[in-house]
Amino acid sequence: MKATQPSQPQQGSATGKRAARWGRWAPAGLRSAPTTIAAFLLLLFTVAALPWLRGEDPAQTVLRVRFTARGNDPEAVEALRQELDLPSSPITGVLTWLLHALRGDFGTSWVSSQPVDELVRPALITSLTLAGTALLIAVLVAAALLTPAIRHSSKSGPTGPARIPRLLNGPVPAALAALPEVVVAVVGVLLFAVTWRLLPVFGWNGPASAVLPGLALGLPAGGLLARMLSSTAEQTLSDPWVRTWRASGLDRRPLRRAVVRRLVAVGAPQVVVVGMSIVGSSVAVEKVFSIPGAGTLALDAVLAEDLPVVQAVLASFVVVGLLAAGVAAAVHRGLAVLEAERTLGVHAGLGSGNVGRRRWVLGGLMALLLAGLVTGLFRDGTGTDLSLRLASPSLAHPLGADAVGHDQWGRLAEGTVLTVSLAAAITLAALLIGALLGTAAGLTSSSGNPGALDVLATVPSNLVGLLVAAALGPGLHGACLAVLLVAWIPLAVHARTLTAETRSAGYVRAAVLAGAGPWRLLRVHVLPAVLTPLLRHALVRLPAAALGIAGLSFLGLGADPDRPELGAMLAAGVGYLATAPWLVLGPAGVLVALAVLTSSERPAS
Amino acid sequence: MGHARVLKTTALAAAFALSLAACGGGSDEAGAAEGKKTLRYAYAFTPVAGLSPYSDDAVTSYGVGATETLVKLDPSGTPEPSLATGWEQLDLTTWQITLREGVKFQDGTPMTAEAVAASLTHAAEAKPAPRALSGTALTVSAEGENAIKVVTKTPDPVLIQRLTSPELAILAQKAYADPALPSVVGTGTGPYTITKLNGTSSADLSANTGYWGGEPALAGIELSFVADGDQRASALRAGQSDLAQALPADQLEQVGADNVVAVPLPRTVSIHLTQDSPVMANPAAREVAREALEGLDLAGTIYAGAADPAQGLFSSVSTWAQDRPAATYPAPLDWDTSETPRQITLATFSDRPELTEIATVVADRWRKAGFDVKTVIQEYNQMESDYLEGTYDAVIMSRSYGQDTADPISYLQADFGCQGGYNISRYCDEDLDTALAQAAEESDVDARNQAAVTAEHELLSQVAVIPLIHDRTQFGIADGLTDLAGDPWERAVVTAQTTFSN
Repeated sequence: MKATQPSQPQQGSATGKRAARWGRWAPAGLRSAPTTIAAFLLLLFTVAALPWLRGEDPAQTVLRVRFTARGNDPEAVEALRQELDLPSSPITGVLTWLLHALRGDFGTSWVSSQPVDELVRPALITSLTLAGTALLIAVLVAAALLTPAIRHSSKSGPTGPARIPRLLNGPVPAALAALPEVVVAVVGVLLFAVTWRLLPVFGWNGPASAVLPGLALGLPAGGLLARMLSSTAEQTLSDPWVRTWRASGLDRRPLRRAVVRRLVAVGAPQVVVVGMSIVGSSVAVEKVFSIPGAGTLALDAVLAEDLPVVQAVLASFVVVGLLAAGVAAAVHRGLAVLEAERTLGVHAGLGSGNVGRRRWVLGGLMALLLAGLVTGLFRDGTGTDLSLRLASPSLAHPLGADAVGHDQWGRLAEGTVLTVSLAAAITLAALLIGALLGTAAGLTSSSGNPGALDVLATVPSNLVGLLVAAALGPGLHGACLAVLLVAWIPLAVHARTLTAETRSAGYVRAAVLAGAGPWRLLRVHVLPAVLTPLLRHALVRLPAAALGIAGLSFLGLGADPDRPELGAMLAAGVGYLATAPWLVLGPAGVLVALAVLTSSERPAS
Repeated sequence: MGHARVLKTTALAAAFALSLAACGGGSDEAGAAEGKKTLRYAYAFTPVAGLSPYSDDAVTSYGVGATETLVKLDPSGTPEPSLATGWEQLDLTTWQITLREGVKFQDGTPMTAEAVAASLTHAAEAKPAPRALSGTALTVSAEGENAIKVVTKTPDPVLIQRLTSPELAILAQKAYADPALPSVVGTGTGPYTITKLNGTSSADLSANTGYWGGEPALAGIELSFVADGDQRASALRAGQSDLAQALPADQLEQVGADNVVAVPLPRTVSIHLTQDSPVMANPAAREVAREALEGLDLAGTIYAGAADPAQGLFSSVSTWAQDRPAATYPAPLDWDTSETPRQITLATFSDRPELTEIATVVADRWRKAGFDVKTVIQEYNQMESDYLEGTYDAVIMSRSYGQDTADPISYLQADFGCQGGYNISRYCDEDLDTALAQAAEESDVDARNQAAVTAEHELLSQVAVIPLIHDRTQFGIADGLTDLAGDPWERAVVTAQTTFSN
């Protein structure tokens, strides 16, 4: 394959090349120990400071978890405080914990008094097995969705730009990725367990019990993975050497191998990202299936302020994330294509504009949604009427009514406005933060120092949500903050990569040789090259932010259950899935439609 | 062609996964001797402390018949013999309790007077004290072969009721290797022996063939902890569970009336109006709040008929409370002439989905009645402190008055006394306190109950609390499962007689 590559301008020194490669996927732990450790310590301190942040005595909280509705009982609280031997400040708490942890002693749970490692180890193994199953399903789903692209590469004509069939490129993966896991889970239970009696409803024993939860997590994750890889596929297929090859009329099997190889190389780190997102979203699915996993353990421990358990779970998540990132980096390095291809690809791949029918279809969908939204806002979505409880769709209530007799159309409109406007605000803030920090990182560090970002990227979003909720108390503000705390990271990483690549591109180096100053470089070359793809990336992530808020609301950490928020509506409706499916179809449909609409967004280059 | 191949591979992989699934599924009924069956029980509450009796887990091991107490409550709340056969109050603070003869612990050791005294002493010395012993101090000693003597520090007319609490289960000596967290694995006296606790996911129980109450009818129990109510219902419908505890109201229709056993509970869902709230301090504003909810059929709609409309604080379980006098309410507020602010916060917890729905309906009604309502709905554990500190103006609460002692006076003192540990209404009235204190010293049960009815009348007339519904517990049962305990005190579930009739 190397032999047939069109000759590339030799660019960058050896170090520059390596830098750009490392900058993307370096295993953080090895390359940048200080920032990694600092980020990790920051997380630990946040956990250790929870009781102080929340301003409530952990002894009181722990007592309440052991005995509900015990009420005020100062004697019992005092007895428990002595038993727990609580640290006097977050700092001493973390230091003591670290000292013991280094000796392999993770302490005992405050709530159950059981050794923490006995609680965490099996839970972690369970969660990783579940995540592994889901990831396998996700890779299979992504492979099925991307296969047409690879087939395409060998079949399409010699001249036209190679494109993946439209549906499989955009809307289908986007719609899959926007499916709420819990809805997939409950539908799966109703079909495969209750109706056909093939699979267990709950529990964690044997491969059978992994199928439904694996599907619930794996289907959306497969959509996400396919989305991430499809742009790589498209980019690769429009690379000049691919076109040259196709035009040459030579045997195409090596070409297909080369494309797959590149997909695997670029995909490996993205599989890790998807894997961590699976771990993050597994809490809700673990709850549905009563799987004793680390997510549930963390959720319960945070709510109970059982700090030893929270610290151990968090630390193990970070370690697992870093290990996975290291493996992914090794795969990437092992298969990595030459720098030149990637650099070229970034410029050649973007901006294949929309043509033809699909635009009409999407325009129609958008118009339909907007019309539904606007008319819905004129309906009363807040008045309750118990005589309309779970009323099925009718002329008066075309989308039916919910459990307390809200008109579902009006409520859906209110919920869409609330969730989408919050998601838009979060995405904008994430874009600004990501662009600023990412560009700065790409410009300043020669090695593209990834440590802190990569440690943060391993912390699952729901866990961040938990920590924020534990510190501020559950609520919509906290949920937005939690989503923002996670949302800027991929944008920053992307901005950093784009900046590094732009810097090493031939024309920028030429400009430097021609005497261009740093500001001019930034203004004329770097920012334009960074901002457009970043904007597109941010737009694509808008539904993810909406899903993030909805997901936290679903877990009871976001909007109050009676607020017209899409996640809260889903949570309220999921119990009625069999009797009143319209309660779930509405909010889930809006989330999916939002993802499909943004999936078509590609600003012309 | 490449396309087709990959699809085929995917399909094969999926088929493989499914066939693995099929092999792994279908639990066989191993060890079912003499045709006896194993009961698969989907239980709602995940253990918080490894089933230690000194926690809320106490009810779990009691409910499946692993542990027993000296005394138990009959459906009306009257103490009746269990591991004890009789009791006698020798003086104000001294009780003599006669023990059942021939009882053996599940580990084979005999239940001697020493063992019982040691067991209760461990509970009395536990720190923090179990809830049933909260605020009391007692010493227990063996009195000959077959009796124990209990001495309380202060007169305690409800000592015998306290002893019915599952927290005071009698366990074998070896249970107390860690006195702070006694182990119930193989140490109880009940018909089923816990042989293994699998973390927070399940527990295995086998029949205790030497049970003093006769041979248990089941081979054993497979206890699964399934926190999600919809999943418990699904497991029952899928034939994967024989008994599903606490079905949510929204699942009853799908499970079907034939497979639901409902037990009325001493549990009332009510709205506590916080007496020191700037709005609810005004009785006239409280009356507006109460009036706005008149005619609301929560039991028939949100509970789908699986609850009873509340007439007062005490449910139909408390037969003595049923001919209560009608409350006399204050005059409602006229918003036009009053200075009372309208902004209130209504709080409830999200653990029970019905409460969220009730809160939504109540908030809507109150807005229409002139209040400016904000709602706060979170998990119970996140909110309890705020409830007790009076952060909210109104709190929708589901409260069992049968916890621990099942004594109405203790409940009223905790929930409506000036020093009450669970006074969400923040109600404080010296006359009521005095009346309750007098009743608490009364040992005549009828007199105590009468005092409770009088106090209830006062609280309802003051609109300190608006009772909404009385809850029932809904058990989902597989066809043919019979002889469940049907205990309104939410304690016993599976008994030695529980069996499948088919």
